[in-house]
Amino acid sequence: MYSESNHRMTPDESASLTPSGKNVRTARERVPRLKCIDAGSDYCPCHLAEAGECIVCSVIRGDAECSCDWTGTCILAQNRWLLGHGFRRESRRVEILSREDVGQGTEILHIRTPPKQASQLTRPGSFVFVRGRPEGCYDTPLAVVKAFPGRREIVLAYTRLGPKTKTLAACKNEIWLRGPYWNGILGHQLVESVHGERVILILSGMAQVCGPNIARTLLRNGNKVSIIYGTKGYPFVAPYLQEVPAAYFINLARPSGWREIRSLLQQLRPYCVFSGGNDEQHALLKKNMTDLALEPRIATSKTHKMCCGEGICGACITVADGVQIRTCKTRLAPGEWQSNEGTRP
Amino acid sequence: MSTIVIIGGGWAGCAAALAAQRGNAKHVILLERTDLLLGCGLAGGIMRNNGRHTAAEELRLLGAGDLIKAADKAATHAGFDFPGHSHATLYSTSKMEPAVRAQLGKRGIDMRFLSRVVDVQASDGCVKAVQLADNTWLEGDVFIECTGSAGPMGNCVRFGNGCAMCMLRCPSFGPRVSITARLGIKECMGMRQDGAVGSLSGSCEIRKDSLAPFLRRALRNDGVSVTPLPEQLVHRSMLSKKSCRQYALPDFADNIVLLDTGGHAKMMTPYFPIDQLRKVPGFENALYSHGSSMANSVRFLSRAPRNDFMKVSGAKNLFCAGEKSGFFVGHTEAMATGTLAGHNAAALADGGEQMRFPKELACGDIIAAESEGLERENGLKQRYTFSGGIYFERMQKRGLYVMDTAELRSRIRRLGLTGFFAATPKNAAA
Repeated sequence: MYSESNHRMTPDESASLTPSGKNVRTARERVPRLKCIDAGSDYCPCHLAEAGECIVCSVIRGDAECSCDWTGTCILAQNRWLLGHGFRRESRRVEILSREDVGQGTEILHIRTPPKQASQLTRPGSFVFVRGRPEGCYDTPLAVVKAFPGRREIVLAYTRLGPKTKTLAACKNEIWLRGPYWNGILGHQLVESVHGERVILILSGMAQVCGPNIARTLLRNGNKVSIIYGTKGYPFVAPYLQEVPAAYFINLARPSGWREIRSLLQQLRPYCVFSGGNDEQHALLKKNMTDLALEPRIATSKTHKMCCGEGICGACITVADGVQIRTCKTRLAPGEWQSNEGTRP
Repeated sequence: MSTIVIIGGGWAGCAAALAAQRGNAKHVILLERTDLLLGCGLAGGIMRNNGRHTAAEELRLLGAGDLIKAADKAATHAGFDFPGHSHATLYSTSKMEPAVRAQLGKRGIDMRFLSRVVDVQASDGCVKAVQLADNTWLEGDVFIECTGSAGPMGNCVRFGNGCAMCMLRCPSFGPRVSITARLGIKECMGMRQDGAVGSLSGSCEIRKDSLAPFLRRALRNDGVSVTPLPEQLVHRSMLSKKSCRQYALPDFADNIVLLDTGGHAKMMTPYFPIDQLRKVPGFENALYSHGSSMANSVRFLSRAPRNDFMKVSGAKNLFCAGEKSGFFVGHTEAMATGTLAGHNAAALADGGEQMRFPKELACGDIIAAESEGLERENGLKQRYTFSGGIYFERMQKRGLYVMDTAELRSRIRRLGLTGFFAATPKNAAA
């Protein structure tokens, strides 16, 4: 016979199983059901699962109750099958094919990667960690502007701001790269599962790097896509967005900027909008859409800090409703679990 | 018009939907996680064996026999015996689901498929709304939980040998979510005779056309085939893992018992390594259609606390039925608990009087026996079915096992319950 499961209850578990209807707890601390960006991917179960901290599987976390909400291959089962031989993302030295200064301290890098990695980085919200020195503390997350699996090439962009990016600028023709990661945006649902609708992308600042992957996915799903560039100067991602015919250039820093956006929203009446920029931009967009009686379906770029990307280092943790959320792993919708009021009714 | 929301479209949910519709006009919504009704009943088929015949007749005479009649109509074989069981009927698992769906449709039940409930909103123990997987909320006045107690995959991994890709199809449609547990109400888990948690479904399905002609012939003619196992292939330990106590008999370990449930042959063992199975004469080329060499679904993992009116203790407007409501095994048992839960939900919505099945009937006695048994020693290891095990013994002892329909009819007439569920509450009171 095959091996039999001999799972017995631990004393803790059996104590909670009093077979009596009287044993009723009326209030229970509600454990949030979080979605994980890596669930079901090559990298699941991850470091967190290994440490007994899976954000999806209650059993891995040590609960008696099996109560996840993940539709797909059971993470607990995968954990048993793959224990010790699952995939892990590791830093590899990769070659810089070309670099181009696009002004204002920003540089675009073309990087050689294996085709599989490049194809994994075509998903909206894709990013990688790169560093210019061997020490891991230099890792910085950079969004993938565009990936070319056929050419074994990805395109990254960064601006010289702090120690990590200055080290990147100083390195010669090789960097360390770790990936793929996908959680660079909030609201994957609104980008990946929308079909045959009209969608607007508002791209400003450094967040414009999210644009090409999002536009590509939206176009493939039969959506009509319009792009609004909200930067003062010429947007450096524009050459990677040639497949989108409708583009508008509006300087959002000018007072008239939002008036123009408002009239565009009124004219195009989009089903949803991706807002790449700062939190102020997201808030203004939401206000304007609500004013125009448009359902504010907004996906946004992400502003959380990330250092390891695996939920381990703790840089990404935010606390909402007394619950710790590891935002680099948790798949959130904009506004979800971010305020103390909470969005759950 | 009040709204009754039933969560789970298995046999219990279907029976509850039909019963909930009686009385004043109501909107009855049946939410089903997958794309098919019947749940475990898609792999089922055994009706009217031993005491189930009595229970089926009781339900029919009580006016809640629509599903019983549908199962009789979809029968592949009727009135045959197999080891330890007399006068069984088998329904064709290929014909049953469309028939039940048509019947519920005709009765105006609002069936919503691919509608998995993931959360619940309540205040003061009163359920207000349930949340579906697409994040929408559905409000209702009374709720009936029929989400069963099998799986999801995490449990089949922990307490069994992994996902067997059974009829519940969790990987495609998502895990069952217990409403009661989400309300913070403590549920209990069944144990096996060997002390492990839960129990394995007791049968798996073999493709009929992969069997030798003599076995196919036996199935066609008699509905059953019993093939003795060579001594070295007998695994008595398997019996203690089964959820179906009525089939945990030595005959089922010493032989391979096949039943003809239409498209498949139902093999009455949780799983069997196929290389060993193929050493048995007639099974040389056997293939599984559902189930496998090594695993089956794990069940009885979340029994809600309830009273004999099927109301969940700790919630004001939540009822439960089927495996959710007790360690009951089988379709007939699910129909009985479902009918009662549906009726009482409707009564609560209408402000009418709730009822419990009288203990003079098998349907009432089994519900009482299950609640009593739970508090006893080893209560978590017992299973209750009209067709065998400890409950069938009790049924016989108390004279509730009646094969004579005329006697049942007069018994139910004496109780004043003839056609009770078919009538509106007002009529019944008159």
